[in-house]
Amino acid sequence: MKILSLFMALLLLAAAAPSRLSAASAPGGMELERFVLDNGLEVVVAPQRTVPVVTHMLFYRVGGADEEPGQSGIAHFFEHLMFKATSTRESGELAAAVAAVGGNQNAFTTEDFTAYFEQVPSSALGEMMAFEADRMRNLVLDDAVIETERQVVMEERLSRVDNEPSGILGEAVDSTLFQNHPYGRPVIGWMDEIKALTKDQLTAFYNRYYRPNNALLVVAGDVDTATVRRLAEETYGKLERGPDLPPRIRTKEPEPKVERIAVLRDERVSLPSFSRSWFGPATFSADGRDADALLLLSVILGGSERSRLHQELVVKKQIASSAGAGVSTSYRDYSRISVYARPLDPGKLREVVQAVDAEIEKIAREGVSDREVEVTRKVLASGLVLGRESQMDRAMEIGTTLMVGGTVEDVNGILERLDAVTAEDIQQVAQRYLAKSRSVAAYLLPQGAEDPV
Amino acid sequence: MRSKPSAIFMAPSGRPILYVLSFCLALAFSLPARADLDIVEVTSAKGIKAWLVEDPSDPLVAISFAFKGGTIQEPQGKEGVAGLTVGLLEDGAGNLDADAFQQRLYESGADLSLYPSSDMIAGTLRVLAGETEEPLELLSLALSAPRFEADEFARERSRTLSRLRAEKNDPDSRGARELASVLYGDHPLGRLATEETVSALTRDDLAAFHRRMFARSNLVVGVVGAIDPETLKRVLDEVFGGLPEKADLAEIPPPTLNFGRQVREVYDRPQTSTSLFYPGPATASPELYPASLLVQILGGGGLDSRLFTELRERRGLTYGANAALDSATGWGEVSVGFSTRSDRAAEALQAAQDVIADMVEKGPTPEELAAAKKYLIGAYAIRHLSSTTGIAMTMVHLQVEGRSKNYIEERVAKFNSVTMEDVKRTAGLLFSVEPTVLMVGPEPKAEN
Repeated sequence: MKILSLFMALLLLAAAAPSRLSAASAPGGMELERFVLDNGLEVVVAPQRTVPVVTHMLFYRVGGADEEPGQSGIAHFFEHLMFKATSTRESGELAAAVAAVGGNQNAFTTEDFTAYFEQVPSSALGEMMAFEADRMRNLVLDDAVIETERQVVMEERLSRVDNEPSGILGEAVDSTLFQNHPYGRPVIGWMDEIKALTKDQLTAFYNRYYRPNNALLVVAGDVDTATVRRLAEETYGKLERGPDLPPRIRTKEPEPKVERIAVLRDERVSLPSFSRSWFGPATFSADGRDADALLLLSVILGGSERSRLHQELVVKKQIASSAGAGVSTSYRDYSRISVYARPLDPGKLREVVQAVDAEIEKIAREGVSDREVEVTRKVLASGLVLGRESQMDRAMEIGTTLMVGGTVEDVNGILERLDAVTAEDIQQVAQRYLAKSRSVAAYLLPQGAEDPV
Repeated sequence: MRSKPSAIFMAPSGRPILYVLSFCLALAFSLPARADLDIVEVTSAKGIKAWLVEDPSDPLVAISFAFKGGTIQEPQGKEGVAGLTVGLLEDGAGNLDADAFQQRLYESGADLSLYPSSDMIAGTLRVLAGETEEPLELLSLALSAPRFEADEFARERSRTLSRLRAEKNDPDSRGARELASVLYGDHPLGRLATEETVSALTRDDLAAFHRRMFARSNLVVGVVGAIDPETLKRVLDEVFGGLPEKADLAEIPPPTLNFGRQVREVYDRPQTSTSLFYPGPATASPELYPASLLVQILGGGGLDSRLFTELRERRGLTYGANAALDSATGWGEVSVGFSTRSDRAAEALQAAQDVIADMVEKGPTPEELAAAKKYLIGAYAIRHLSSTTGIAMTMVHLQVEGRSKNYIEERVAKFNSVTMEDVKRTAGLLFSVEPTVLMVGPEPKAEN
């Protein structure tokens, strides 16, 4: 019941740099098996037997970027409704069943997909599949339920966006960065459009997208493939294949030629902060190699306290309290790169922005050293192994990779892809993608602050 | 994402509150045994003890530790010293300056995190099995021989001051500060770092705090992964053997919480965040078990708690509503929180208090109690024992709380023996006081 927006995913990444990147996959090969049921449901199993627990995650290939004009927020609103009654079960039965075994559950919606998960003792796996298969087709959409949930979703929007200056600015950055591609629309939806969604629209959405042939099941943890197959056939296997899905035609974002600047002044802000964002190629697109190079670049530029931005702005110049960079690759159509910094005192804002830009220009002009590339690869590889201890992260990574255009092989292929990146590649992507003229600069300023540029 | 709060909903305005409280509570409840969790106590040649769960198949080793003490040990007027001291441990130690130290740690690929809380300074080193030597050596230096150099000190103090300034006008941060001072009064828990106290700190203050806090007498250690007991003994002496024998901890009595107060931070925004604070049991109290069940039924982690059902499912008033129990040595508190559209904040507050009053009057239903027991017993393994690091940290927390190695099994019996009457009695006990209420949001409209 939460939203992973572009902006938040990016923040997550920026906050936890190298170890978070590890979520991108597992090295040295995690054991993965894939099969497809007759009705089209794709299944991937990732056994890991350290504790008698499984993570059951069901992904649907529909997200905020698939919504029709005027219906922003419908994918997320619908995700909330999935926790309501079905024709065979009361609302709350799933919650009670999960709680009874000490498990946890949630769901989230992104631009490109929607996922539902339960983490439970292995013995409860079949029961979870039965619940999840049931609500894939048997949900009851009734007016009273929709109206109450609409209030909840509106409150969620207030909490996530409208109540916080950083939320308001982040939404504006997204919609400025993507002016033609639907990634510019907030996944939670515009308030007026949330208010206007109808039962008919929600019903049509359900019937179109919530079908076994539009879903991926990932099971990670203490289980074997034969068991997963047997349980999946007994539950999901009973569902009928739906009509073929419409092709996901996404409008392209034209190459930007103008730097755009978003400024928010707010009395809750006492020290300014700055970020600059770009879009780049998606990992599994024709320019996917560039996405891999951008990943290494972002770590060298700002992925840790050893990064260029931190060392230059925080340690050497001592003009910023923080500075860094992040890239988010969990998207089907475009990745996103951001740099950020917060000056130590308000008078240093301009100097901080210039210093951030100078570090990017320096990489574009002079490149990075082979040694930096080598160390960064090692740190990322180590982070990948350390990240594998979380079952949830494994399931997330597998699902995300497949949802944004990758294959099962791609999950284990990330180390090879990173190995293939050279210092020259990194310099080239800095030149090609990180020009100021393609960027959106964002300033969060105290009330009454003068114009930043 | 491992450390993110519970999934079903966001913690309401809980964000600023959590760090002023002790964090041992979430660990104190919920627990079924992980059948194969075989905890062995290891004692090194120098007498340093650790709990170990050996798993040769694990690709990593996690070493968690805590020095009992924390921010409540900060002398009056020196608030902020704990955070700065811990922050500077990785900024140069032994014969390595900050740059050399950090680069070596970075290149080793290990992950070291250190964080102070109110009652301990905790840390975890995560390292690939077979690549432990360098990170362990660096950890040893950081703990026993930090340099606290002038440049690094000045820089980190400026960054801390900058962070304090940055939150100065943030209504949630302001509310949390005001709440701490109202709720805890003159107790160290009520004294938070300010620009004034941080500005006045010196390198000598850090060195003195370090000497008092980082010793063997207040140390607990939990280790999990591909490491055998003999190796661990050597590691313990190598990493912790250089620390002084005895910590110099001040005697800090538990706080006396002030209830029945109103804390209001007025800011014109669309939502009002509301938190209610009531007394709670200490970790060692037998009331811990009925109180944990009570809190679970009222507003625990699932989609089916009474508060969630009433405020969200029935009335659509909020995205999240929850209850939490925070227990520490000698004291505890129960909190209830939610955020709601400002014009319905009063309705939400009344609804929450009605839910609580109903629980005091009637107690839980047998079904609710049975479900809460199942949940708290079953959730322990999933929440705390499902990763290498999770097990290591859990063993540290159990030791800080003074639990036995068998506690994970013992707690099952303790939960199972709780009766309906126990929960009802505990509800009456905890909720008989007027709560202290924190509200952050616009000025309420006058009621007619």
